[in-house]
Amino acid sequence: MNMTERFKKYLEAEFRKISPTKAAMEYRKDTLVKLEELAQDYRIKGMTDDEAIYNSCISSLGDFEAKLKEFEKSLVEIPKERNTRKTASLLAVSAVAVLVIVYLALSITGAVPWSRSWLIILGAVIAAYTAVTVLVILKGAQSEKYLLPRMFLAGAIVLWFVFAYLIVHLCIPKNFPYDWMTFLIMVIVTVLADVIFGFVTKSKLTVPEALLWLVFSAALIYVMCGVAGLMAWGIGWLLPACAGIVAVAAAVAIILSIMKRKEKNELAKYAEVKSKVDEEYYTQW
Amino acid sequence: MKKKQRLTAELWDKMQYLFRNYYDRMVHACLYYDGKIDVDALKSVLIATTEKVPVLHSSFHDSVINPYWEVEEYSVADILSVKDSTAESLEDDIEEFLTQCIPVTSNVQFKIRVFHEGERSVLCMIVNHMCFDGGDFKYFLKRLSANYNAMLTGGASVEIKTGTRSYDQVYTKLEGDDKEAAQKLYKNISAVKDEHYFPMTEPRKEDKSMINRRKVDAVTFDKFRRIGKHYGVTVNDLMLTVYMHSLYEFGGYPATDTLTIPCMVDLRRHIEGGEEAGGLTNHTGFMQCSVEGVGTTLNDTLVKVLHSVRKSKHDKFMGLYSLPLLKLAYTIFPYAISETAIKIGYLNPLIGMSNIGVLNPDLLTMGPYKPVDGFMTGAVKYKPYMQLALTSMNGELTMTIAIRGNDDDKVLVQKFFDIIVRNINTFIEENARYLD
Repeated sequence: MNMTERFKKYLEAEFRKISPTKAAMEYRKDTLVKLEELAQDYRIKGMTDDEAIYNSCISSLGDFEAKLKEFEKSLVEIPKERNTRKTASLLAVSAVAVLVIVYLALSITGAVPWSRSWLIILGAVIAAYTAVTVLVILKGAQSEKYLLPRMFLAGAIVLWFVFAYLIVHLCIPKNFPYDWMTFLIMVIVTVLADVIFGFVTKSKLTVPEALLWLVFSAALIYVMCGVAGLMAWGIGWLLPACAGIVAVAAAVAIILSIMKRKEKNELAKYAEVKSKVDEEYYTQW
Repeated sequence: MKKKQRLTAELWDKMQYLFRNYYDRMVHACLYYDGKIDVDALKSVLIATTEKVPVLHSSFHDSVINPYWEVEEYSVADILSVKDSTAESLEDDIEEFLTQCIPVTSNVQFKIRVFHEGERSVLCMIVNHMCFDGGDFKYFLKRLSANYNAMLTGGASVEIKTGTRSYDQVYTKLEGDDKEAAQKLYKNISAVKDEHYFPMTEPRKEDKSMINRRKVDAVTFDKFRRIGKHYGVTVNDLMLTVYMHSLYEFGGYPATDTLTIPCMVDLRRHIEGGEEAGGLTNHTGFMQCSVEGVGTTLNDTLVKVLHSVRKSKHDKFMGLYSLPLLKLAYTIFPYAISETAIKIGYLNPLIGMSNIGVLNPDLLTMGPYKPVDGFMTGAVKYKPYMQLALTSMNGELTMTIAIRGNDDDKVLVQKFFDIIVRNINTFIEENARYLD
């Protein structure tokens, strides 16, 4: 009996321990291919004894009976997974329905005027977008691709700030003259979030981005404090100026450190090449 | 003036045109005969064949929106030339002919030259890769032979396939969910970045196109194949192994580096009717072979290669990745933008391998003469790109590396061939017990 026949005989006996489903048959065929490939590897690596090859292949399966039981269990669990998706979809639809009912109830009863109640729908849409952003970030983390997650994150922050502005503008009765500053703070927070994201994901251009953010944020804070009268215009300019100096100093320090490291590496490489001793150098041409 | 007929530039025509940035777009073949080819009969066959395949006598027109082919007038002299050569100068003459490049604006897209040397003839052919690939080149040569032989025996009709050149024939063997899934394979298969270079000199003014060749004799190649058969592996697996093992040595790559090499795949395996279906065109994809470090022995490297290629071999969609992505790019954007977009996303492999396969002498006879030797090879690559092409005939293996380089590069390539041949022999020695 050749090796394949032996594997087939073994697998047929083992698979009798679980139900004879189509999935089990496919699993059995896949396992046979794996065993044949493993036997091929052993032969190429130099094993010549068929008995040893057979035993090594079978033992590579480990506790195969347990694996088979696990496999059979997983077949039952697949509908469960589908059920989870179904439940999630149902929950989402229910949430939308409840939201619409609440919106209509509050508006019709006059608890919240129609002119403001639409903010409930807007808030819900932004919340949904934020949930999608979280999923995109998680997916991006799995594939280590972060461009799309960063764009989604920036979008979510912008939307929440717009929402905050609308709440302040429409719902606070007292005239609040500085609500437009929401958009300046929005820029600072959005870029800051991106810088933090960049640091966490070790993105290459994060350091220059952080330095630019520092200078830019200082300038915006200067403008806001000046307008609000929290800081004198005359002395306040020192804030962005100092931020600029700090940023330039940090950039110079980073460049110098990179150059020093590079030089050190080159010296080490040079020393290794020149001082390496090898008997073959006596005769090598 | 009569308006010229226009032909659609198919997806692969445009892709091969884009590849002009990496190589010279020519595919080459050379067949040696121990007898004289009847040039008059060949002329008749070539005219009839060219008439049946309009793309072969068309010029390509680049356009911002959509490029196209325009059918051109031609004479057989544009296609076929004959030269008397001597034993001493024959190989140089062949090299000179094969390394020329047909401009896309030319009225014909293929050229044949017959060299007469004493009582021997050599048939050389080059064709624009935009018209067809190695798979259809083999088919073309087979039809050329069959039509020539029919012509000699008084037959008048010339047969050659004239169907669609569309890329989407590759889905004809698939059905239902599989077909749907294949048409959604948007993954960019070229995105596997490998930064290993084949050592060559920096580009110089004197660089010229060259086809470097090395043979593995029939006895050695037979032993090599027999060992492969014992292990249940293909010649492609074996050659990939020897190639990659040799690259680590020649390129001085650290032994633990991961090396990824794309290996060309003939997509006609997915086409209902195989090579006879459709028209002359390109149907080439590639599978990536990645080894995580070189093995201590060639057998160890073979195991690593197998671990990689098995993934592709078990994949029913082998080679079909990225096609929907290319189709999408060419559909939604005007040509100029799509070319730029694809160029940004496409990473041309620095090192590749193309196993063109067996050239069957029985199917390439010219009258009473069977080819005694021959080879085919892909386009001439521009530095730093390179590709090893393989063809076998009469039991011998011919390795070719077509590059644009200088004499120093030639020496480097020959050294590399030495290493490959040495490794083939080492593999045979180390596994000699299976030859009995």
